[in-house]
Amino acid sequence: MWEGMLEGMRGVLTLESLWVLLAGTAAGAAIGALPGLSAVSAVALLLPFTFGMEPAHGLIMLASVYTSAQYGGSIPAILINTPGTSGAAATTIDGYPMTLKGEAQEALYLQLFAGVVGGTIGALILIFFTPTLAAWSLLMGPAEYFWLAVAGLAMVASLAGKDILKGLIGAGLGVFLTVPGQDLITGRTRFTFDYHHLIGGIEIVPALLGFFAVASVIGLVERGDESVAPLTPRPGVIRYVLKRMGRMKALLAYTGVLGTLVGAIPGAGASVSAFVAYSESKRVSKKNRSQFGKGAWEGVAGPESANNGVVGGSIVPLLGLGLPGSGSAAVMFGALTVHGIIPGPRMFEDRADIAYTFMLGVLATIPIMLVVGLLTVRWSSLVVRAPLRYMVPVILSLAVMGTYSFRQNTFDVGVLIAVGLIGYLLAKVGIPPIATALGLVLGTLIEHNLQRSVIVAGTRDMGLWQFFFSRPIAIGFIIVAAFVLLSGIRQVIREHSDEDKSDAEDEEERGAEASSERSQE
Amino acid sequence: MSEQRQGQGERNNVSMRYANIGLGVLLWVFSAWVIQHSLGFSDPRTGQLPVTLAIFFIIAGAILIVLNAIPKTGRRMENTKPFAEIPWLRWIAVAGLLALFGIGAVTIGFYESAFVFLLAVSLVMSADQENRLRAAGACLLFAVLADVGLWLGFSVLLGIPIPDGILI
Amino acid sequence: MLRRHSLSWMALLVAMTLALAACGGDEGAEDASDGGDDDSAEADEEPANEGEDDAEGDGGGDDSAEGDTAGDWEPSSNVTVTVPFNPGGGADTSQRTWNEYAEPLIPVSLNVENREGAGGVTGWTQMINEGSTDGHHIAIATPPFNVLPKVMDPEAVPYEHEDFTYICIYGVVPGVLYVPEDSEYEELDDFITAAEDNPGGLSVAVAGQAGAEALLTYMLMNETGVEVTMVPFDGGSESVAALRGGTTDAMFASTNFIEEQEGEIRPLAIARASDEDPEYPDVPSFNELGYDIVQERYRALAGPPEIDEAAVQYWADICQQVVENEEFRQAMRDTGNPPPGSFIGPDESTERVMDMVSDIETVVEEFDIQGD
Repeated sequence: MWEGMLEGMRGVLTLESLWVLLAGTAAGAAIGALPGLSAVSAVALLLPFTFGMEPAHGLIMLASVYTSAQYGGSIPAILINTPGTSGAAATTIDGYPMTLKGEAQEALYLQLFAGVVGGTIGALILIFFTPTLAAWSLLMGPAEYFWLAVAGLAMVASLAGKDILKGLIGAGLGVFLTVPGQDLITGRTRFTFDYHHLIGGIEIVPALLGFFAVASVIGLVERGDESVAPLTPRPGVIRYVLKRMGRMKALLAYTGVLGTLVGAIPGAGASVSAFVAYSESKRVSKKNRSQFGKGAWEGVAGPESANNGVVGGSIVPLLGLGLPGSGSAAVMFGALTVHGIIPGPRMFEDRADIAYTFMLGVLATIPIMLVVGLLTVRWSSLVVRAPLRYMVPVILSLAVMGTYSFRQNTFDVGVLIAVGLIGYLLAKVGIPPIATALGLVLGTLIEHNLQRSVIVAGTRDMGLWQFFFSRPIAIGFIIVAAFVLLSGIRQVIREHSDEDKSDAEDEEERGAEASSERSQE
Repeated sequence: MSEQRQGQGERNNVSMRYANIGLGVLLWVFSAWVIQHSLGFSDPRTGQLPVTLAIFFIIAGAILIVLNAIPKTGRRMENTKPFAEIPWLRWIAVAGLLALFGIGAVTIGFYESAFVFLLAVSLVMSADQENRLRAAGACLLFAVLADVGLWLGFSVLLGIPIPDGILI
Repeated sequence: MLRRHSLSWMALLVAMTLALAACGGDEGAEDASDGGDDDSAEADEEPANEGEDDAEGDGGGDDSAEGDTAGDWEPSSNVTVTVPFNPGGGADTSQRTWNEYAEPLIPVSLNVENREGAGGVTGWTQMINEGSTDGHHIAIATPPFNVLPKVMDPEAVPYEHEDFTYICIYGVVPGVLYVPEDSEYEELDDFITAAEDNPGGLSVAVAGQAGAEALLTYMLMNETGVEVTMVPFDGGSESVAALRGGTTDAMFASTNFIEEQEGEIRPLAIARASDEDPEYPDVPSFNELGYDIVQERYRALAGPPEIDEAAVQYWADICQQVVENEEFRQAMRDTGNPPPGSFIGPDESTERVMDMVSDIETVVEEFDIQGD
């Protein structure tokens, strides 16, 4: 191992590699930040450039693009409530409120540093624990996936805020968006209305972007011609952020590891891990739980540490099993085979230099990402000050162009706009977009794995529940799901009882809230 | 913020109570349609998920309708006016322009309709400006610059094959 | 045998004459010297071409032997190649590999356009409806994936099977039945016997209930009379994970996993057509084991329905040179998409796809799996 690592280091620590890393990181962050162009698109777009490079450099490039795209995606999530990648959806819940409070720079630095922590954790786990983790990920069968997804959906209780019923309706609508198209299990098409674009179903990226970018930007129209938010960074903002993060060490480490582990499960991905991390951050931070959804720092730090940890995690199945566990990993799989390298455990014997160059490339991107971030936060945060009469059309046209570029599909653009306009009205009547996003991300996982469980149970002459309870890990997830649901409901009940108290002194409360908001600025 | 604007949107003041009832009814209609559509599937497994969701929506809709129709529980929602803050005229203009952008992108071209969209939305949103002529000039300049920026970004830098329009 | 022999000789004679003539023109000027050897393999209908290994220097000879249409047309501007799947995916990798070896042979460049959506239908529909018919727009077609949606949901798919003008097939990927390395089934017959003893009790991972692997499973059940249970997954990698994780007993997937997952999973049988010199010779075919099961998916080139005939000839010609290039063949094998044993031109490609269509329609009817 150490020999291969040395080889890898020799590959990464050259001046040429440094340039490749720098270019890849900058490009990845920029593409990730564009709404519609996700981490997959970033990797895919830069793939052709790597064909001409030698394998090591090509891989370093892809590693850096993938890593930094995850970072870049959260920048617009914080600044304009528009996740640039699907992994950044959870960051909007508290990142955008921070911006509204004038804390855009604080949020961006927090996001950057949390990402650095999570990314480092992910990369180290990738380098040292790939074989172990890969073996674990094979234990995930349909029963386990189903209950993991159910546990994820149960988080709606803690994500949705006060009105749990509307949260559930939102999640249901999100799941419904996964219905049209060809049903994987029966092979039959449903809800396609003989419209060929619907055979493949509704793509997650444009729908997610509709719920966030379009719905929230159209909401900005209400505000007339202001800017998105004031920008009032504290003096010595970097030091202040680091100081406050010092108190979140345990949380950052926990969510980073969590993100990496979820990322290592093929098919789960960045968005799921970020949601899991958010819900965990909320559960763990007992003291200021009431601040969640209103700009809680932990609500940005947790998901950001997790969705950067995912990068390392999602490469685990690629190198450990020879199977791409995510869309981006699939593209990298293609890139490796083009260079005549078959990804998988045998790489560590046949081409250890390449394997370690790749993994160390992920790690080496992180300091570069830090530098790029430190240099740009000050400028990117200025976006919130731009007048809305320019911001609104620019963001909307970026969303349209980005969505089209995602896979050159005009139907996606239609989905973006339709979902955006409907999503805006739904948000108005209190259906939280984040709940819909959760349903959208988990819907397929839930349906497919339930149906698969039924089929597999049938081949073993078992009933469905008998099958579930014959799988220890599935039992674990059942307990987690119940726990997540109960603790979510408890949170809601507590918030409600707080509110009931204040209901009597309704007017007074409202005054107090306004003043507390003011004092926070 | 909400206090400031409460005055101007008086006529759109549908309270959350009625909005909830409306949402419940919509959910019922939607579910009825989903169930009706799913009954025709030859393999019942195809329809399992949509029907399950529809049943859930019916229950959720019923809870919404009942809770809000009962005066005691419904009154809590009276004070929230979900649509009060929407400047409908401007909102519909922007939403309509966005839809037109989507249609225009595939018919007359991406950059062509992006230009129209950028210009029109920025004009709509600068309606409050004092010096209208100057604002219009600024919007025109903005639309040109932003459109060129889009072209540089997507077509030149990222090399995405954006289909040819009538001009570009 | 005798007939084939004399035909080859005739082809050789004709080819030599034409090659000599072509030497004067710019087309074949490069290196027609070696032409004769390959030209014996020229005629599509007679795949007697062992002499193909030395296919490098074949440029001139082929062009001329194709007939006089070959020189009539040449792309005048860059050519769009639609790939209706995501960049970096299997089809994309194949097409980019093809382009890499084709570009040195043509005066312009090939621009890949990835148009994903609806399992490829979006991209193919666009090519068929909007692609220019002057030969500057071609696409990768991956039968059965462009055929299946039309069979399963004919109303929704806006093209007909005949709308694809097939140019050539440059990759032939048979389905393979795999079991885990430590499986008790050493041979195909072990598996089939076990399935007979336990109807429906053996599970087979497939990629989608309406995919190539599912069809293969139906064919297996049809041919052997056993009953196995299909467990549909989202794709090949997910199937492999399920197989290795013990969720299913076996898996149908394409050939690429033979190498990629060597040591983890084991191929029992491959659904290739009979071939004298097959790819993956170590894996027995269903045919060799006594079952009439052939199921191959193709990497094909296709143009829009009204594409210029001369352009089809031109691309078929380029395709032949590419397919006969040993470096290209190795590159395709490396990505797990082996090339055909011999060049498959426009007519034979169309014929093969249409055969596939009727096979699929039979199975779909038999098992009543058409969409609603």
